[in-house]
Amino acid sequence: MHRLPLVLSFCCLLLACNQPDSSQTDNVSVSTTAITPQALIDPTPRGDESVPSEPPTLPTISSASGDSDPAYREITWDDLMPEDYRPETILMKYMQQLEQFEDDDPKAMEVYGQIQAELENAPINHKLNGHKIKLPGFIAPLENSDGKVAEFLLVPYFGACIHVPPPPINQTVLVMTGESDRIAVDNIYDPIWVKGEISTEGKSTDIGEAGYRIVNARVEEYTG
Amino acid sequence: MARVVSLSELRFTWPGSPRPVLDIERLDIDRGQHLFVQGASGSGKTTLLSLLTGINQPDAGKLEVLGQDLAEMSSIRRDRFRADHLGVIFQQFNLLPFLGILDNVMLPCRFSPRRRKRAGDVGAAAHQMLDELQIADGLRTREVMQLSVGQQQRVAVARALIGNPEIVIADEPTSALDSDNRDAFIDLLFRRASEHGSTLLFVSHDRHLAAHFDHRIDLGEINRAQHEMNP
Amino acid sequence: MKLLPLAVKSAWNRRLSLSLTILSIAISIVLLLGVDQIRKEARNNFINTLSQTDLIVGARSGPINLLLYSVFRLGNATNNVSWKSYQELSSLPQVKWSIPLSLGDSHRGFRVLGTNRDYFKFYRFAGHRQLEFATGGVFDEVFDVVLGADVARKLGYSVGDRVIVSHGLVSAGFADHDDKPFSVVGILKKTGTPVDRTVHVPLEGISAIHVDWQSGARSTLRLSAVQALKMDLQPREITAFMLGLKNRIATFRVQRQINEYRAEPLLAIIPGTTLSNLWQLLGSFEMVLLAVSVLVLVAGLIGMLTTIISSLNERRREMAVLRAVGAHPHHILLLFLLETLIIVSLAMLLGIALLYLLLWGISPLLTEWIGLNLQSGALDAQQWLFLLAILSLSLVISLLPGIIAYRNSLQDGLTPRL
Repeated sequence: MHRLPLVLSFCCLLLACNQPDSSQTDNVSVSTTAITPQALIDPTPRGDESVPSEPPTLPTISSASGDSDPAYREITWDDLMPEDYRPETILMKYMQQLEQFEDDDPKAMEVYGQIQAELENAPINHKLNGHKIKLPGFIAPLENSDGKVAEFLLVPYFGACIHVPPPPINQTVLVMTGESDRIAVDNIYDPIWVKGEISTEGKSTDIGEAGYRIVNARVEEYTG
Repeated sequence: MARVVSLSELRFTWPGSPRPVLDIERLDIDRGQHLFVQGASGSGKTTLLSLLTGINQPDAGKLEVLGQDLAEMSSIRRDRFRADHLGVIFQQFNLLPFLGILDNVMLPCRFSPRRRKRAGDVGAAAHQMLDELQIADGLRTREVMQLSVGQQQRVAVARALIGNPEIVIADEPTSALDSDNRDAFIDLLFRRASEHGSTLLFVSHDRHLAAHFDHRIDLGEINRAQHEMNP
Repeated sequence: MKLLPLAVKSAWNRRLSLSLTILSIAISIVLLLGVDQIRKEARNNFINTLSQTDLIVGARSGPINLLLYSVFRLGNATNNVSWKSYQELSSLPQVKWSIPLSLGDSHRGFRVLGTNRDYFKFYRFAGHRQLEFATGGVFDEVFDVVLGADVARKLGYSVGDRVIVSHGLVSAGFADHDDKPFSVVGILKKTGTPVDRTVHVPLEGISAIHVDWQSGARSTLRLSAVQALKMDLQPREITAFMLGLKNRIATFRVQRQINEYRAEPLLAIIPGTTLSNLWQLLGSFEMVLLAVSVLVLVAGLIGMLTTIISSLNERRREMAVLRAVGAHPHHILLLFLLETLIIVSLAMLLGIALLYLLLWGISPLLTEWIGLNLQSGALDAQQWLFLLAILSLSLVISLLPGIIAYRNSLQDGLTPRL
């Protein structure tokens, strides 16, 4: 009698394997911003594929994608990192050590672990606090209201490939939408524009700074 | 008025047909007449009836029924005209099998407020008609299919006469009856038609029936379209 | 309306074939409305089951599987989580609160959940709603039990009653922990979530009843309840646990940490995300179901059309009679539309009646099997509109035989040539 839920779960699992969100998948549908060991050593510009990579300063005029709402400044994910922060400098620190090892040497893994920890503790760019910005990204739903996503984490890329670290604190934005901007469940895999006032102040906790937050955000379809 | 039907230079050709099927110089029918129209099949009688009943319209000529020119009327008005002033009896299958006997008799009153008014209490009028046509009480609750052909034909007459239409057109009404019943039927039809003040137009191929009538015409003779075909 | 009685009587005359048509359309309406009903109820039930929870952790399996057994009490875990791992991970600096979950037992068809008092403190659903007690309160003693609203109602329990827990999910009497009964100390208010169908006991209670089951079967030692209490009842394993973090933005990091935890293979999911994924999956399934239902309706309507069209020829004489008494061809057309109106209206009434009957019949089964709580209320506005659309569609397609009959009667006049 209890086979039915198992059959259902099994079917769900089978179908889930085809869903891009499976944690086992390697599919990253947008051009990768993944930090591979190679990229650590040979830094190439990262960032959203639609907007050309810019130095991490706030543009004063909205750029390429023709934003029709001048109240919101378009920013990139790079802008979420403070100007003086350069991942490359962290790498440089460890470069010498890394060169000693083969890629799969466990000691190399340790070093990568340390690099990862440092990258994850990346600082927040407080210059953005209070600005009305517009940022594209993908969502990881956290809360829903009547079947529509009302609170989510905004990240730069889609799918959590297990070979790369998760987005660091300063590449994640906690977003709470207004009532009319909740995202329907059919669209949770689509990239979106988030518009709102970004805040960097938060309750300070013992794990470091609180992180980026947008409340009462507006959401738009991302068409490129 | 004295003339109930008056047609002149009436012509009708079926669409797609090279020749007219009906070409009548003149035909007049007076009120109260019992007219026998003899027509073999193919003589154009079906067409004539369809014109008189307003189903089709003539291509040319005048067609006056009860003083109104049917050639000038829209199809909707012709259908209403038929409902108001004509009673029609076919050779067979006159009745709707899904209606009761009474409902069948009352049918014309459904389509003609004029006849409904003239009938008064339609239900009572229906019973009255069935009395006149010698349909026993017990039969009236039966289904149509349970009646004999003769009984069905008499119910058809009751329906044709309810509400006193001015004209009754009967197309081969006795052809399905056996010869014993034919005379009795025609007798009954005559009497009832006269009582209700209706002019009777009786169409048949059977010239033996003509004896009952004092007014007769041969459609083959007056229909000029047939002369070319049967010289 | 002079034609309606004619249409009714004409249809009644052909009632055998028309009833079959009515039945087939009614069935498709049951399907369409039923799918819609289930979809809406599932939405209300599933999507509001859990809120304000950042991570759920269990032994490594699939994310949806973990969500289903830990939150919806559907399916089973393949493996457990050690108490040590739970303690370590729930003490991570980013963690604000944690709730341990221990599943596997049942009571008369309802699942038993072993947990602690934090469950009642931190569990949220439908946004910000908390668990509330209708009577009694949370457990204090090892053998205390808190019942969900539906359990208490269905089994007629009140505070103070005794409850026997069965090993595994089905009670067959011989695997009952009947030597160690629990006593009801609280009954929760209805939530509309699987909480209503759960029997909650302390973790120590689960350990206590399994004290002489260590080998998987009841041992011959047969310890009494009192003796069990004297033993160390701290659980060695749990099935899963929930975590609330101090900062939601750290969710990914903590999730990764748990997924890479070396001491044990574990899986951490973000329930909001997994729930949305599950919901999206069900949505596609729903679409398929809806498409199938629509096809069934189309088949039913085509069947109706076939029935009507095949009757056209034999009804030509009837049409001639009607024309003889003064009907216009547009009256004939109207008769066909009316007939369709009658057929489809009756089909809808029958369909709605069947639907309620079905819902009334299978609702308890659905609740037991997949936790779906169907309420058969009245049809909502959207469903009425839907029925209206079906009616309009039917009338439009009935124009086909209607127009054929119209033209036939124009041509036939009083003398159909059959």
